[in-house]
Amino acid sequence: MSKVLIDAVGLRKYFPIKGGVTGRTLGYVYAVDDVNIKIYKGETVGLVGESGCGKTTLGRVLLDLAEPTAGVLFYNPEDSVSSKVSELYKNLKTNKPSELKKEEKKLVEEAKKADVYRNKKRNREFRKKVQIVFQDPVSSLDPRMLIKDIIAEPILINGIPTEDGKRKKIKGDELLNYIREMIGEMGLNEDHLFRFPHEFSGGQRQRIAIARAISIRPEFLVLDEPTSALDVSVQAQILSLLEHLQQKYEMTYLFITHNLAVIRAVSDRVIVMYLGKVVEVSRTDDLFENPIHPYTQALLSAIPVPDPERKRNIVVLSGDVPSPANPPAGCRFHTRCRFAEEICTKEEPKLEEIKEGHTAACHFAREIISGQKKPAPAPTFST
Amino acid sequence: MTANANSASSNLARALRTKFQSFAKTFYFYTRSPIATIGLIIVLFYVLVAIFGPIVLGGNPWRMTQYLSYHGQYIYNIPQPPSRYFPFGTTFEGYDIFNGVVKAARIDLMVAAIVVLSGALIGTFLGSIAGYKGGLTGEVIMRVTDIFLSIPSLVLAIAFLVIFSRTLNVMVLALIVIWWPTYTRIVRGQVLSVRELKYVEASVAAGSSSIRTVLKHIIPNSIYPIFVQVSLDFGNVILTMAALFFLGVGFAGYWTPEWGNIISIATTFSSGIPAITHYWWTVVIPALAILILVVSLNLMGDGLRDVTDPRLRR
Amino acid sequence: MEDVLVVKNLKTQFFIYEGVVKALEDVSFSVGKGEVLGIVGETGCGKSVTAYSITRLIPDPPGRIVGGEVKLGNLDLMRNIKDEARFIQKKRIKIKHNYKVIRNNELFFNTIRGKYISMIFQEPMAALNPVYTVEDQIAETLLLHNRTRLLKIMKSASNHLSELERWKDGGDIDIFDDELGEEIDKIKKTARGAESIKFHQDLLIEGARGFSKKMQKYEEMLKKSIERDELEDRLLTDPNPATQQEIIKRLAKESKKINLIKMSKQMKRNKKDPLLIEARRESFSLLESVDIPNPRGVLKSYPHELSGGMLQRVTISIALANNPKVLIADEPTTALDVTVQAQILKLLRDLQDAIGTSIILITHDLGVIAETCNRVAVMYAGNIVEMAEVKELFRNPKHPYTIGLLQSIPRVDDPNKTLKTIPGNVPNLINPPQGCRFHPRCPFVFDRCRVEKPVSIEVSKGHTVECHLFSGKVNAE
Ligand SMILES: Nc1ncnc2c1ncn2[C@@H]1O[C@H](COP(=O)(O)OP(=O)(O)O)[C@@H](O)[C@H]1O
Ligand SMILES: Nc1ncnc2c1ncn2[C@@H]1O[C@H](COP(=O)(O)OP(=O)(O)O)[C@@H](O)[C@H]1O
Ligand code: SF4
Ligand code: SF4
Ligand SMILES: [Mg+2]
Ligand SMILES: [Mg+2]
Repeated sequence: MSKVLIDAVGLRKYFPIKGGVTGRTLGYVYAVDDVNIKIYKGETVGLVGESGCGKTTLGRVLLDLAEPTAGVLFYNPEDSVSSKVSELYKNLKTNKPSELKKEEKKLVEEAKKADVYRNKKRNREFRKKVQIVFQDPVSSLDPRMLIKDIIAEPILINGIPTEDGKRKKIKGDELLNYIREMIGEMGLNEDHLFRFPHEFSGGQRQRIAIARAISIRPEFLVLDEPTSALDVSVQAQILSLLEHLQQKYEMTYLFITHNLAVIRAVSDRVIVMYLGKVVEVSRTDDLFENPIHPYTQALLSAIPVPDPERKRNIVVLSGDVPSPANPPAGCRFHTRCRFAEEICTKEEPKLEEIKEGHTAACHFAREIISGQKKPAPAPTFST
Repeated sequence: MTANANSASSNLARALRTKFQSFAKTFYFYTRSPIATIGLIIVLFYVLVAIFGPIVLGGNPWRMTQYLSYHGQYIYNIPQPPSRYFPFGTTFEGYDIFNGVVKAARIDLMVAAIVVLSGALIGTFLGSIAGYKGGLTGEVIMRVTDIFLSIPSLVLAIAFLVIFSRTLNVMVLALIVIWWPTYTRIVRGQVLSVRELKYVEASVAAGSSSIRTVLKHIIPNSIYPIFVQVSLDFGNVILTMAALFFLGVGFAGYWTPEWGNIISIATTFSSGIPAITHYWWTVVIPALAILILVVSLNLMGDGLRDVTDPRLRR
Repeated sequence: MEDVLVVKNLKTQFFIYEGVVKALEDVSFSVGKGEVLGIVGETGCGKSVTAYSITRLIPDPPGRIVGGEVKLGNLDLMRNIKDEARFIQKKRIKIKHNYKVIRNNELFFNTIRGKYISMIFQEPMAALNPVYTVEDQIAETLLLHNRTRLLKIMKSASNHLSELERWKDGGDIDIFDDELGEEIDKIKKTARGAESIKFHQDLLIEGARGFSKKMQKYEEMLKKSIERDELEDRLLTDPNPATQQEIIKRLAKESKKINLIKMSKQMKRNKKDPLLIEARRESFSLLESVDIPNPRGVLKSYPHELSGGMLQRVTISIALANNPKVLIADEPTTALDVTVQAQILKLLRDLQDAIGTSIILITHDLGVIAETCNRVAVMYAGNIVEMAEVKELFRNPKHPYTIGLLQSIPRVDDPNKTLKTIPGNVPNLINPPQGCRFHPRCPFVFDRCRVEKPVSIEVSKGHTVECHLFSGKVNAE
């Protein structure tokens, strides 16, 4: 397997809920809670889950757009170092931010001894290597700027990479020509450069947003639901554009979406999230053919298939996602799970490797795949 | 290369045209409301008077009487009704009201412009810091703003004039002190909502500094409500200034052509006789000058607010 | 199949600063009884405008229905739309409204919308009033459109009061063969457990007692209400436009009398009003029927306290409260997660089986269409370009646009499918392309397409296509 590009260890992001006249903290939204993931160079990782599960937050924390409450983020790490810290982080067992800070401090001391650095500070080098494309094509472009200025902004700040691995700043005609070349690649034309965002359709805006993101040739690109607001016909255009760009510029993608069909079409590996936790990680084909976690199974079965003659069983999950401010104890999925038992309400399942390259967090993962465990008579129905 | 440059300049022209078209569209919607249009026309008229009036008229209001004496007119110390030579009449001490009202337009509009624009500038600066940075700095700024907002504006201005000196500069300063907090509030509110938009985050992700983000993205997108507020406040500043004069705390220099001052001349010199009943023109004409301008400014502000509201842009 | 709703040559335009948006060019379709018709197409193709035109919810200004016919049974919904406004062609088109006609039409349509055609939206919040509880809002609809039924149940319950009390004390109950019997049958079937049945019993008895106390008042109310219902039924069945006009006038007069705000204030003040008690009971049972967990809690909550999925259930329950002839659902699941979408679609299907309402389901997701609809209309730039039975359409798509759409969907069940794209975008409808509006994006475009608008051609039974590619073939056959 290729080299690890991003290694997130014990990543947590809790948003304080402020209330009352004094604005004191009433509680926390546990948006991302103890997430450990690795992303390898050159791959496309899909990140799925219902809305409110913390996908966007995880993406932002990975890009250091939001400071994690706790956890370490390695970019291009040495293996030995990151695994050492991973070991240390396994012992963090609290979710009160104040205590976390204390415990973590000790860990960091330890880590320093092991010659580990925290790659957490916002640092300029990091900014030049990572970029993001947002879901909403309307609010992601500044309405008062010309398209050429929108695309030029990251270049003016970061410069573009040269052949010898350094970066150089460009401006004036050189910059304009560079942008021209790029916009052609995006399927837009030169004419579009001197217009304002409101003159474009959703798909075109998303192309512009992508152009802005890749203008500084990042190594890692987070795509936060880049096609969710678009029509299928346009979605297909954007997906093929992204694929082309990835091959050409050798980028690594984190592709966030709630649309499993898109995930299947684009990604090599899939991470499934539920209420701030990673519940299943697997290679794409494996996940779609043999989903292990009951949540993944339900998600998969709920996707409508555009084929009226295909009959299938739909596992209907009852209710909505619980509030991440007050997640259920034990396994967070137990309130909606068909397989839930006593233990699920008490003990939190660990993310374990069930098969080679396929991990899941469920107490009964092995029983479920071997078919020993039968679901409770749940409201399944067929079409 | 020339072709390239040509196309670049035509592209730029295109961009400008787009801007102009959106302005033309705004103007079209504005003129669809006849009341707002009338307001705009009257305001423009005042501006013209303020610019050219003093140049055309020349002289000083109180010296006009001497000039007229050459025509064989007897000069009265007590107010004279409108006549051929004094279209708006005169007030006490032979003060020519027409000349005074026209000259006052320049002073009043200039003071109002200085006050409102500096207020808006300070407000934008502080408001964007408070909105974008938040935290302790923001909290302090907003608390101070609240304190200033809670003191009645007239009281604050009078205190200023009494403590320092009664000059035009102090008056302008006092008015600025009154006006900046409103703008701070508005800008902060606006920044708080713009800050959450994705293009701001995109700019941060591109590595831009806070200052750059605020200047390039946040301020340009938050100042539109300020324009509406400015047009509404223009009238309020003039009213407050008139009130200060009327209360007798305006700056020294009795003959300063200022609308409020012209009224106050009538009321201070009339020594017991109600000026409004005996010499109505000494009060009503300058009061009308203020009233018409303030109402027109308000109509204009309302019209502006309507065209910036996307729901009403059809 | 009997057609419930027939739409013919519907044409809607928006008169805005930039020009005239020709949003609907020529839309014709019909919906059969108990059928689910899907309308699918990209954003901006005019799906919502179609729905809003049928229910006359187009915001005016800037929108106007310029022509066409919509028939609900024998009733022409677009009858005097032409009298509402005149167009004056100057440099910019000016519209002169005739407010008297508009006001009358509005009154008439308030009746139609609640009673015969209901609508649910992508944003359920838009359809709910944020300052009233869910209970108030459902009860309001019921009191407005379902009075007869409520009163009948109350009357029957007051007749059977002693038996009801026995039922409550734990004895069994013989089902009565009247409204109350049906109701109790339903309660037994849908209620969730003893708790909920007890709630129903309590309210039924309370309402019945109130009814017998003021027997005369309610009898009279019932008589009036039945009269009104008959009028409304006749409106759809009577083929004579003159009589229809008469009925519309009478109904409009009565609608004027009902002041919703006053009514809900009264409701708040007079909690013990038997009619209100019955309305509350019915609201409870409606929420149960849309599978809402903890219906009592939901009844007492305000819209902003509920999640998107829950709100959509509430709006569905309100929309179905009066057994409308047609339910129009405009992207009801687009804002929801797939898991919740599956719940809502299942609910819609179940309810449709139970009630037999015709549904027009608008969506841009062909997957939803495939799983929910009987028939599909594909829309592009203000035209219905293809219409067929759902299986026929997916097996045998004819129009290049439909084919393009189908080829661009990624499939979970078929990862190796290569995604094809439709080049370009939906055109700006101020200056739509001449001829076939799809021609700039069509891979099969030929000369005729650029000048002549294709007409609808039936390629096989019940399968129509608007495309020049097929006109030759049919002529040859
Ligand atoms: N800036 C924020 N402040 C407070 N809460 C937030 C913030 N951003 C996200 N959240 C909360 O965190 C949870 C996860 O949100 P998000 O990451 O956007 O989920 P997803 O992208 O999976 O839909 C949500 O409950 C959301 O309300
Ligand atoms: N209020 C409006 N003002 C101007 N144009 C409108 C308005 N509403 C809809 N349109 C236009 O009508 C066309 C169809 O829109 P719509 O029916 O909302 O599409 P969709 O198929 O996505 O529901 C679009 O081109 C849109 O621009
Ligand atoms: S741990 Fe229990 S509740 Fe959680 S997914 Fe597995 S079976 Fe379901
Ligand atoms: S009429 Fe012509 S342009 Fe239109 S869909 Fe058919 S082949 Fe394509
Ligand atoms: Mg998100
Ligand atoms: Mg729509």
